[in-house]
Amino acid sequence: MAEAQRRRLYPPGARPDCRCAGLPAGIWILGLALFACGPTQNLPTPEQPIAYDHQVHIEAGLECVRCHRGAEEGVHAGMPSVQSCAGCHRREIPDHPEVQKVMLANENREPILWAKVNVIPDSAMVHFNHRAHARAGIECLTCHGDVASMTVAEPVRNVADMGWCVECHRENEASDDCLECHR
Amino acid sequence: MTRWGMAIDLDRCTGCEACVVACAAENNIQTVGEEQAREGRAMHWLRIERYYEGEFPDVRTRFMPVLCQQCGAAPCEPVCPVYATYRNPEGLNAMVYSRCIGTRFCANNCPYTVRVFNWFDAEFPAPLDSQLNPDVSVRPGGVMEKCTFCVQRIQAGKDEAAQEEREVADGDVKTACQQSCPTKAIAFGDLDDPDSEVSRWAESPRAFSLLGDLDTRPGVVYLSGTEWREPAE
Repeated sequence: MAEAQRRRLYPPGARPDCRCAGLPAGIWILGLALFACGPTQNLPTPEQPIAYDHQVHIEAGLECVRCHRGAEEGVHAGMPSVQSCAGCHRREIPDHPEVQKVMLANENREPILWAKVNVIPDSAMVHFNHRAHARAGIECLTCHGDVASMTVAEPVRNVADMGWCVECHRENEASDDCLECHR
Repeated sequence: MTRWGMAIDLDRCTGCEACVVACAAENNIQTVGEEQAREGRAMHWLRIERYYEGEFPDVRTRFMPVLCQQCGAAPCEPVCPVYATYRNPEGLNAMVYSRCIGTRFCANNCPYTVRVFNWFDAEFPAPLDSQLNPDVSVRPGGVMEKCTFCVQRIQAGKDEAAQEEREVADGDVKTACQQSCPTKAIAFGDLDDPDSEVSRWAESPRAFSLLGDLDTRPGVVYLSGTEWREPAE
């Protein structure tokens, strides 16, 4: 495949499988075994406008829901507003170059366009409800992986893998009716 | 178990079509334009049928809102080759857009002709896209669609009740058409709950099913004080 064509077909950061075609058989088998054990499916890690470090924030004592406020009590988890970032960083390391980008956005009243890491494509026509899963006691890391120890947030599971959703629904005796999610 | 149902009082219906507008707004139903409408491709999930009776000057107009009857024995279901439409445990005739391959057999087999087909991709040029309901998917071209009994509102009602740690109460879930009806001609709720408004309406001596002879066992009940005649051909 020509490089230009590949660039058109795959989003930046995506690693199409055909690149690995020339690998020796041993690596292929190892890869298959890994694939069978963990469903890491070559998920692209999107580039973020600001080098945000999840681990540092968690180590500083913040919880996931401190910033993703809707995750527990809302249908959508949501992203923190620029004001809420700036609110803390006015006191905390305001001179850090990445933090200054936040402060600048706050001054200019511009939103920070964070890239979504875990994506269910619109074409799936799925309406995911965060708080329903929080009620059922599903932890963040079940779907999002251990973001608390990530420097750059990357997808760990393919959240658009319906078989995995249904499996969990059945194990936990949640409804597996189509209309539960697709509508 | 819940069995969602609707009752429509035809004696209250004035044919104002507020329900039709509310339905389109709630469910992101695309408008197809004059030309396509002329081809019979208008996409209302709910339509008001209008019947004229008598001879001038002694005439009367009668209105009947017709939507998916959410049949208990739905003729649309067994003809779908990909199980995109099925009877869900709560009495809804479910439509799974992502499964639909657009054979249109279901619409062909529906005696109420309430299923509509997306002949083209929906277009919501700005600023119309700002008014789309985020809880409802915009259906792509080649997919069949129909009234869902506002399933997004049903799910939201159940979610709200669960969040407050209680059961879903009668009146928690209101469909868009019901909410917008100025004469309150529509009741919606659980038909398995004998105390619900819709059950009480359904037990009225005025109650009847549309095309009842077909034994489709509809989840929609109509109420009319006068004998409802099918229009003469």
